[in-house]
Amino acid sequence: MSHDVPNRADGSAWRMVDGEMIVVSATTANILSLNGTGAFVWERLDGEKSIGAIAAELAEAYEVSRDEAEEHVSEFLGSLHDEGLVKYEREASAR
Amino acid sequence: MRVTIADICCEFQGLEKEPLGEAVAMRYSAFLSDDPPRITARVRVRPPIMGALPKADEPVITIDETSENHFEILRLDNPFEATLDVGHGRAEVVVNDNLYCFDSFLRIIYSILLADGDGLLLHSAAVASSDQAVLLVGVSEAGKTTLCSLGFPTVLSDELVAVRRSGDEFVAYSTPFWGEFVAGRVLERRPVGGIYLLRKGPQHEVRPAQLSSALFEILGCVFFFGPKRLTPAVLDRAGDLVEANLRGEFYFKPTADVVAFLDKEVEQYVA
Repeated sequence: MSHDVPNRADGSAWRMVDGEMIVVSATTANILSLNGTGAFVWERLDGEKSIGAIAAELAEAYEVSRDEAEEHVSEFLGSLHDEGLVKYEREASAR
Repeated sequence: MRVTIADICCEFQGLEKEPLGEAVAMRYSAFLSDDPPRITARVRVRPPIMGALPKADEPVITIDETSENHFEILRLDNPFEATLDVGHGRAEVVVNDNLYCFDSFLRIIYSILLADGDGLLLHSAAVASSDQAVLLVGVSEAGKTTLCSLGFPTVLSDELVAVRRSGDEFVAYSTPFWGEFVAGRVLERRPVGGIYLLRKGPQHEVRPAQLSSALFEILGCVFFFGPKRLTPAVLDRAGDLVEANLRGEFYFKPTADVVAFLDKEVEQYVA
C-alpha cells in the first residue's frame, strides 16, 4: 500500500485561492475545498512519489509520527479516489 | 436555421421542415442570424408516442468521450441524444418533438462550445448598470428572477448568462435561457463590472465575501456538461473571473428601489 504511487486523475482541476485549495473532479463534477494538510498532499501527487514518501514528508512538516501520517494520507487518498480525482500506479521497485 | 449566442453560431439543418422548427424560430427569434456557424448540426425530430426517446424522472446526462474532440451526449429527462465533433464543427442530434428537449440540447451544446473556447455559462442573473454587466450569481430560489422583475432597464438574463474572456476583461452576453422557461429576447453584451453572490434579505445590503468561499459557491453555479479535458479550463476561467470582479454578497428585498441601490453600488467601482 505504501508503495502505491498516486497521481492526479486526468481532467482534475485545482486552484489555490486565499490559501485554500479548491479541487474539481471531472468525473463527479464535485467541488472540494482542501484544508492545509489536504493541500500539502495534493501538491505532491505527481505520479512519482509513493504514499510512503508523501507520508514521510507530511510527518516531518507537521511533526506527527510516520504511522499516523501514513494512515492519514491513505484515508485521504481513498476519498479522493472515490471522487475520481486520484489514480494509482505501483512503484516499480515494489513489483 | 442559425442561432448565435455569445457570438458563437450554430446551424441546425433539417429543422425547417418540422413543426418544431417553427416553434424554435419563434422562441429564439432574437438570436437567429446569418453568421458563419461554429457547429453545423443535423437535427432529427422523433414524433411523439412512436419512437420517442424514453423519459426519466430525474435529470440524467451522460457524456461519452470517444476521442478528445468527439463525444456523445444523452439526456433522458428532457430527452435528446447527440454526437458532437467539436474538432470538425459537426453534430447530429435526435430530439423528442418538444421545445424543452431542444432547449436542453441548446444549453448543453453552448456550455461545451463556450468552455471549449474562452467562456462559460453561469447560473446568474445579469443586469446592465453604468454600461457594465453586473452578475448576480445564485442557485435556484436565490432570487434571480424576482430581482430581475423589479424594474431594471436592461436584463441580459435572469437565469443563465454567457461570459467570455476578452483580453484582460470578461464580457457578459445575454442568452435566450431565462427562468420559468421564458424565452429571452434581449441582445446585449457588456463588460463585466462586478459579481455578487445573490441573497434574499430584509434590506438592500452588500457584505464582504471571502474569495475562496465565493469561488467555491460560484463554481457550483457554472453550467457545464462537457468532456473532462475542459474542466481545468473552466476552473481557471471561473477563478480569473471571480478574482477580478468579486464585490461581495448582495442582499436584497423585493422592492423597486433595489435598481437605484445597485446603480449606486456599481458606480463606486466604475469611478
